[in-house]
Amino acid sequence: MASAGDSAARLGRLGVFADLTEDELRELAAELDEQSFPEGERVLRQGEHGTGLFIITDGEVGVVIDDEERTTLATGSFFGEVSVLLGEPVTADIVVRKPLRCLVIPPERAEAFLFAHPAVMYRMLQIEARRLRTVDPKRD
Amino acid sequence: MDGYLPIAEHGIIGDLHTVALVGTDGSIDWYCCPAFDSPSIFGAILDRARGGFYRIAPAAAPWTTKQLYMPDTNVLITRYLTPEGVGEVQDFMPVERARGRMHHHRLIRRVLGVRGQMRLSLDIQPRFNYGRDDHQTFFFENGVVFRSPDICLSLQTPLALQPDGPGVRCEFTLDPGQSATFVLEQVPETYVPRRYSEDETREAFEGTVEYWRGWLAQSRYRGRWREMVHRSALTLKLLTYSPTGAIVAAPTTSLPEAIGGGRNWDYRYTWIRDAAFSIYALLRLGFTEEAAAFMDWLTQRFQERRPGATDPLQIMYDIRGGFDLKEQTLPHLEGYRGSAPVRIGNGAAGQLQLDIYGELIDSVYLHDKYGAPIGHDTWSDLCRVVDWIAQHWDQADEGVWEVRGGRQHFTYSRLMSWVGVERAIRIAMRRGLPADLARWQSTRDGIYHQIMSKGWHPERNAFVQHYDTDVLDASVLLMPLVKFVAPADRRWLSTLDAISRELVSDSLVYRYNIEGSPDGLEGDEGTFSICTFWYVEALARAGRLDEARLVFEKMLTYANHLGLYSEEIGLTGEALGNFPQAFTHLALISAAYCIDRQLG
Repeated sequence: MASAGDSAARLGRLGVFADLTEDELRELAAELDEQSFPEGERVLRQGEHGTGLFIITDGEVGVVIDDEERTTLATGSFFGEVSVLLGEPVTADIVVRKPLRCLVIPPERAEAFLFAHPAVMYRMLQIEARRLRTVDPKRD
Repeated sequence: MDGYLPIAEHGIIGDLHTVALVGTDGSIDWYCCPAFDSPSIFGAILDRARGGFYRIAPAAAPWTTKQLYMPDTNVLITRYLTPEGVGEVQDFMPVERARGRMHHHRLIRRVLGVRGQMRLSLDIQPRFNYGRDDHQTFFFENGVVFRSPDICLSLQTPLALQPDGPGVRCEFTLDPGQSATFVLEQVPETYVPRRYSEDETREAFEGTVEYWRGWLAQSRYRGRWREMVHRSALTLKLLTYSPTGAIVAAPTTSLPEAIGGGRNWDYRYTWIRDAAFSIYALLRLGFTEEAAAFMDWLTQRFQERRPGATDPLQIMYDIRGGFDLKEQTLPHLEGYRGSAPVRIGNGAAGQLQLDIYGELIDSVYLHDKYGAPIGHDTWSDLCRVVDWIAQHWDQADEGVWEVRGGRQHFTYSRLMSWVGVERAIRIAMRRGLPADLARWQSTRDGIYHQIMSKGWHPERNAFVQHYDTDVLDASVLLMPLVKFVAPADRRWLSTLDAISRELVSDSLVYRYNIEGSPDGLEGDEGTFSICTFWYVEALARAGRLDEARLVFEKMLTYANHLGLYSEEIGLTGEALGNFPQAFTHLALISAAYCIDRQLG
């Protein structure tokens, strides 16, 4: 079984937590649940409600919309955030491509989590901005 | 000491700020960022285990490899051949020309499937600050950020990367026509990696190819050995630091002059001598922009005052013009194949080497004649230098080879003092510029007579290394090249014969006999490539053209597969010393130009 220190070190590799201190990482490791999913499992389904925010600590998933895989996400990525923030259904299937471990923040705790960790919220905002820029390079 | 590629098994890419050495095994073993003299991030060439590397290669053996440049460019292609397929990596660093913005130092590796199917692996293990600093690795969805105390780099790719100790790795498969791109660049601490589109990296590739071809198109050289001459020119340009116009002697430190030996020096600085010779070579081929930039850099050096210094210039500077090059060793690195110590900084910076003014004024003379006429301020600076030479030429110094065994009255130092004054007189006469010509001419003639009396050894029937020895020195090969003696002068021809007998071994030239002239350093060394090219030119000018051509052709066989040379060549033909070395490449250009002209 991984120690709290190991878990904190693994979380410390993730870009969303890049600005946290070692103490903050240890607190976070104690606070968040980590779940595992086998290859091929559908973690989220298009149209599903109340799913949560998922931060990948290891493995890889495919983002599938209408049976077409649009992109893959791996260690350091997160998904489910739009649904959580807007309270709307999930817009894509998330299918495990390589055995997945991820932190799961239930929807009812997401707002409190983000307000409690503004540095994490800022990083997530940066990453969302990067996603928008990737979709439309001219967007400012 | 397994695991080290031969020095010659590397190519070089760069962005006019810094370079990376790419092995034929697809491993970047040397990379300093953001500038030539920054601490290394990949330094496996100096310590396989601790130095750090960035490798892209087939995931499974066996495979063979080939390496080449895109024609007329500094875009390097490393090809992998396996029974199942063929793939290649295109390595390049776009040359960013916009000033005032943060320079990204993008190192782009485009991997292409060519034939069959190929599975490749990427392994990147940065070791910041010569392996002295720890770093953190942060995973994002388009790559990773490596954060060290002094610099952050991001490796960006759409492929999923896996942690591997302090580095990352991944494996991927390419079919024919498929590609994968990896962009490594300097980033701010808060950077979020981005996805580079195929269009973007293709444009960067095409822009880099276009930049180098556009630059090379300025060359006026149409003679024999054009590919070798142009490869040398492209290499010299890669060693230029574009923000200041300075040229480094070589982009590496401590590649040994003998395997296991201690003659390991940091060449990532600008020697006045080497830079002046480089400008000379580039001007001959028609590249005037580099000469102008170097003149600007030089003018700034003339105008600054060094605390406590009485001589006009230091023998070497850092690429920004700094003069504090404190030498230190890095004992935590084992050195290339165990050749310790690894040194950074250069303790020779404080030496007195009187020859530098000769090479310098010769390059100013050529720039004035073939580039752009020099202005009043440069001329005034130059007059001060000539006046200084007039007062100081007659003293002992450390000489061109930077010996650490004490000062001597070196013949070469006198020779180049003569060149300095003689070329200044020529500029003054040609341009009608004000000068105390009578005094200068008297100085010039005084130096001449002293060389002819004290530098000449009647029993040896040759010019010798310094006034208190009978040892020969290859540096006097420059005597006819700088027009100090007529190429067929009796004294010169007998010197050339003596050098041929004593310093030349199978067409390769030693700079001097270490046993006969202890230089204050331990260990052996190989033959010096620049001396061999000087020898070629001296033979050609002496009318021994067939011999010159054969020696030149033999010398070409010691280049590596890309046409690159290090400083020295060992007994079995291996490249030794820092790599690639400007001095060798500029001498190749000069020798090729000379023989080609004589062959007609």
